[in-house]
Amino acid sequence: MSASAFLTRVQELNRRLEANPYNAFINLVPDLLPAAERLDAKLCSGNAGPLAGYTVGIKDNICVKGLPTTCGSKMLAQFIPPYNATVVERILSADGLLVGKTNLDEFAMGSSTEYSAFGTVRNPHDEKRVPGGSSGGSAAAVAGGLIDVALGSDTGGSIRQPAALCGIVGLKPTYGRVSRYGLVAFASSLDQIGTFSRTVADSALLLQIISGKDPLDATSMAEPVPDFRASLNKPVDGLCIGIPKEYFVPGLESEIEQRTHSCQEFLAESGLTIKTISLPHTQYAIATYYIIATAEASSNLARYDGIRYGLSQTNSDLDLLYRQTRHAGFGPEVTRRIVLGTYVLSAGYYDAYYDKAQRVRRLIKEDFVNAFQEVDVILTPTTPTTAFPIGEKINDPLAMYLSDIFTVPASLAGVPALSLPIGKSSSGLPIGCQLIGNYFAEETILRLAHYIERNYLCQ
Amino acid sequence: MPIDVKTVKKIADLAKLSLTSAELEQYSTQLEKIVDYVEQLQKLDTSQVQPLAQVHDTTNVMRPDEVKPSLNPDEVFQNAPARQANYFVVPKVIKGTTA
Repeated sequence: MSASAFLTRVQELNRRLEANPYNAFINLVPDLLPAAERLDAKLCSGNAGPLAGYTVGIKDNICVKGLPTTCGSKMLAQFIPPYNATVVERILSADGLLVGKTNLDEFAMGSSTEYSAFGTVRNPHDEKRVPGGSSGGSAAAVAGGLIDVALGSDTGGSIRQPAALCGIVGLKPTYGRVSRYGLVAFASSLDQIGTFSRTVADSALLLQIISGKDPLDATSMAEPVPDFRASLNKPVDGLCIGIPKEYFVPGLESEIEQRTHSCQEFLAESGLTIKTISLPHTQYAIATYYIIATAEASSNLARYDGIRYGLSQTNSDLDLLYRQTRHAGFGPEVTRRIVLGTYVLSAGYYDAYYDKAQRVRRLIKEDFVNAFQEVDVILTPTTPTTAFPIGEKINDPLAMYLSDIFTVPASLAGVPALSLPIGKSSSGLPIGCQLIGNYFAEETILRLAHYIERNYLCQ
Repeated sequence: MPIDVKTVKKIADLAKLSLTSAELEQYSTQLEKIVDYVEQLQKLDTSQVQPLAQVHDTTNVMRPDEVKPSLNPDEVFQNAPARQANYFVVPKVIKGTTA
């Protein structure tokens, strides 16, 4: 794009953002134009970075220095990080234009973005429906054309599920591929930062910029980072695609099932090998996840004590200060998860729940390790349903948890997975399919997704 | 398994959460439903399976102990509810002495 076109686009964006469409943002970068003009000048001079010309949203559980990072919680409503997350540093170095902090379920706990202390996010395809969650603000802002790309975080599906419900591309990289320095911790053995975009190529570009070992995050991995964009147009024939029978179960909407099968048939016609496979422990994934994720959350969220940062309910009694601060700061879903996590870790229950879940987690990981001996990519639906109406599941936590049924297994195993739009339902709601790859094989799933995006005709 | 209000109260105390009696009732009902659901894991025999804490099975990640720049204290303490010099102020916890 020409440089002046970028500046015009940012001015137009500024006007649109005044009404905060879809309630997608919690806080905006003040004075977008000076930064846009500086980037515009760089574009004119021809020495701009790879993200110049892109507008970028950051999920509001990722720290941007000087801007509030609320996590969608009253607990952190006034918290101003004194540093940038590593991913933010990298986006700024690549000349991306930060637009604002996107809305989310409180502390990234939820599947609909209805649990934000800053109001519900609306789905751009039907504003009476949820955008999915927890990264609902990032998904809605990209799907609604407000911004070009966004960062989210995915613990059990928080990127892929909203991407599917909003009809865009959402990528959760391999656990350890992207630094989490500056990401507010929810469940540390599962959390991973990833991307939202309208095209597969833009996800490849953004992933390229944020990937790689970071000395500030000991869990980031030193695995080499390939040139994701250069690989996009390499041939896909020869790839073997696995279809796990456990993902086609009662509760899966028939239109989603049909669309996934149609995509599978298209790949077979394109000369790829299709193989029915089994991931036998799939049915145990949600139970395993909600034990492990809540246990880790109860430990991680112990830091919100009203002493060092965040909300504080002043009291001369330390114990009351803790209790009143935490009661006032945490919303219902976060409280529910802290209670559940404390319960499964408590004396007398640890072996029955937490230890048991860790053992089942190994079985779920081994399902994937075994499958990737036979196939290159696993193709599944991303979600069992299209976007559901706002309010439908808000009072039934278990029903809400089950909306992550197809995304949670890859999170437990730590393998990369991408949600790709593959059409719409008869009522006009987006349908996504999920491409799951082997450890550090983002290049393969991006290449296949790019091929499907370019060649599979969606009516 | 039944999770009564007394159990939720005990757990909330461990987690330093003050809950109203209405909240205790509500969470007890909801948690019972969730715990009933996760009970299905007991069907699996995992006696021969090792617990998995993190997916890459890496052990300790070491680095040289080098002095590097750290965050500016003034920027860090701007988020603190109460500060005295470079310390966080907390309520007195030792009883029976005068300040």
